[in-house]
Amino acid sequence: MERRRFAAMGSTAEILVVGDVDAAALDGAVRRIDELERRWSRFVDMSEVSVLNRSAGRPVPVSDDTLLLVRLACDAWRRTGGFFDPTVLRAVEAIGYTCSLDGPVAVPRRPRVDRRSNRARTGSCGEIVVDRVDRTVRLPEGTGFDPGGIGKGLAADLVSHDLVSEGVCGGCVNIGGDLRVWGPGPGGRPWRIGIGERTVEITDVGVATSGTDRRSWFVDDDLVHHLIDPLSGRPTADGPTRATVVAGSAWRAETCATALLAGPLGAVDTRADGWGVRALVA
Amino acid sequence: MSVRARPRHPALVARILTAGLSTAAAFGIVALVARDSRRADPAEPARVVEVRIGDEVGDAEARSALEAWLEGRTDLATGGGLTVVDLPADTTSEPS
Repeated sequence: MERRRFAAMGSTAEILVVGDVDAAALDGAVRRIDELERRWSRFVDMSEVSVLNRSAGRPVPVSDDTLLLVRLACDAWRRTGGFFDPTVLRAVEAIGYTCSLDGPVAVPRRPRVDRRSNRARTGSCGEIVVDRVDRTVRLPEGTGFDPGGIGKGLAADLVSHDLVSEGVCGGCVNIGGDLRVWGPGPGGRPWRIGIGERTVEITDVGVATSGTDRRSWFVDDDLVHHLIDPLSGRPTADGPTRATVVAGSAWRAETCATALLAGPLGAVDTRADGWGVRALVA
Repeated sequence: MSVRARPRHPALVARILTAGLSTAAAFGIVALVARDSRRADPAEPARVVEVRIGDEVGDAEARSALEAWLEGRTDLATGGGLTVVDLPADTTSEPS
């Protein structure tokens, strides 16, 4: 098995492949992840998502990748009954998440909080216009798009699809814990994924974990985190602290994992069944 | 008694008819030559059309394959998908 490990999207990425794989294919996969980060990061000033967020209220031409990102985010919003909502950006910014929080552990900090942006709208995903003919996206005025709950998973799906097209028969693309596996793992067995204290064997699925114990910081002595309840516009409080989802693809797993944290703990299994995914919560 | 109109300038009429027929024939020859020249060079219009159609079909197939990949397996809610084991992991899924 060959492994590439590198920093990407504010986290650590890994590409694992089995069999005899051309190094150029792996180089291309690394470049593709970098390309997607430059298009989607809200911390890159000229990324397409940043331009989109500065242009809310009017249509903005975007690449096919970004068109897909926004379209699938809206699809996830509908599938999860609004528990996953990519339009919570202004609420995320309002509690101070305005720069990339790298690193594997929580980073306590006292950010500058823009309290005026508390007036910003959330829950307006249904008003996003994705024009697949003109290849434009229009966000409703006052809304921001946060790719944080879908971007890594979708990037893992797209890059793994590229590698399959290159003839890689078995592999795993893992971007910050949001991953896609396909084909046989090492020795022809299923892929083994560590989830907390457990290891699970999986084949041809996506896996993602969301948690309120990562990317958290202090605001006025209160520890806050980046996962926003779309109903309240505030960090989630009553749901589980961690949710891992196994789904058909990584973007679905990631959006469902995020959505599971945005609701009551007791309804997790019911909601996961309704979305057609498997959930492991803590 | 019937009166038939006679052409006053038969030679002029004949010349006009001859010239017209010659011009039409000339245009016909030019058209044939032009058509043959297109046939003789299939790399021009035919190739463009063929490539464009081929690309559209290829794009549609690629889009369809990508959509299927992005949807992935659909049997997970009915029990498929994962088995818990007591073995070392190849990689981990942590909160991102």
